[in-house]
Amino acid sequence: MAAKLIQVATETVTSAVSSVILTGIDSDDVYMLAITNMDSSNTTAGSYHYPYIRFTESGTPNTTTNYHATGKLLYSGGTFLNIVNTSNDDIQLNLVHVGTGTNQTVQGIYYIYNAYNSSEFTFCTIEGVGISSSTADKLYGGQGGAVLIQTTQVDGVELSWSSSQTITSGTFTLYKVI
Amino acid sequence: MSNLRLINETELTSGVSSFSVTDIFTEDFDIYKVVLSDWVSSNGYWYLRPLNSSGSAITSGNDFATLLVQSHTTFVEYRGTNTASLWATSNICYSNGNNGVYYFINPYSTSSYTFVLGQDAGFGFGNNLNTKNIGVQKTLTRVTGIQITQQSGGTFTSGKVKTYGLRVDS
Repeated sequence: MAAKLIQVATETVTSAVSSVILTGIDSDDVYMLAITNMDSSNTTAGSYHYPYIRFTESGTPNTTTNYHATGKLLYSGGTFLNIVNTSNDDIQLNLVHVGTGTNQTVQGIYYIYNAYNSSEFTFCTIEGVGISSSTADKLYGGQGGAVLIQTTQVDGVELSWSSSQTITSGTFTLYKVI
Repeated sequence: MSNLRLINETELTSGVSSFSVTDIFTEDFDIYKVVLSDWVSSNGYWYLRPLNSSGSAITSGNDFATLLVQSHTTFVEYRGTNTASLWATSNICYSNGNNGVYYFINPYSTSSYTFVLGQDAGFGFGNNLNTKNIGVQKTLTRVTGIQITQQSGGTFTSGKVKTYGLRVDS
């Protein structure tokens, strides 16, 4: 029998915002974050920026440099890259260049573990896919995992873009897995 | 009630070389979870194609990237652009079985690309072979199903597909 997913929070962006915060993590259950059609305000083809996630505590993003993330960046246009980020102040989700085209968006599924448990680190798995504009709609996607090495009580997530890009579209939904 | 809704459960007939599951993606959901289990074949590789609303395979505009992680030798990268399938030569379906979970995003939309991501685990001939996969269908064709086909004339002996829709309550 498949696990039940109970929606905790959702937000659909239709006009530009600097970030999206979803809260509602209130138990030691596993949570799942689904992202669809996340686009940015970028207007320069080939410019490099990336979507990221931070965990929130009492609704406030944790901006400490206690995030570590590793994985593999799959790429339809060339050699795959290793992702190794230590002591960052965020978790890079897909490491994609997202460009100016209509369908150059980001999608992803992320499972979050131990978030509400204040005696454990918070972990998440990373599975994302997106389109770059740098060279003719190339496909990117990060596969890996990340951890916040703090024993704090996490109650949600913040989604945003690097390089001061705003979120211009996207649906962001947080589910509890039971 | 769970936001994850079971839509379809299908099991193939042993001996077929190609297997389609039609009319599983509709306007009701934007995200679908497709669980493949107990896939066993006489050959090593299979590929996946999206199906249009007529049940025909969409054989252009598919890009993919797959990392094959395996226990007996070095990992292998597969990639392709504008290919006839989402995974041309990369997924393993050996004699001891292959199982995986894939997410299809925006398949029914004709204004957004159909994105796919997922992973699977398999074992055959004494080796553990697993893949990490991403793909996109870029023709803006409505995708309503999937087709899984063996390469090189092989046949499947078993295989199940469970499809779930992931509901978003606004």
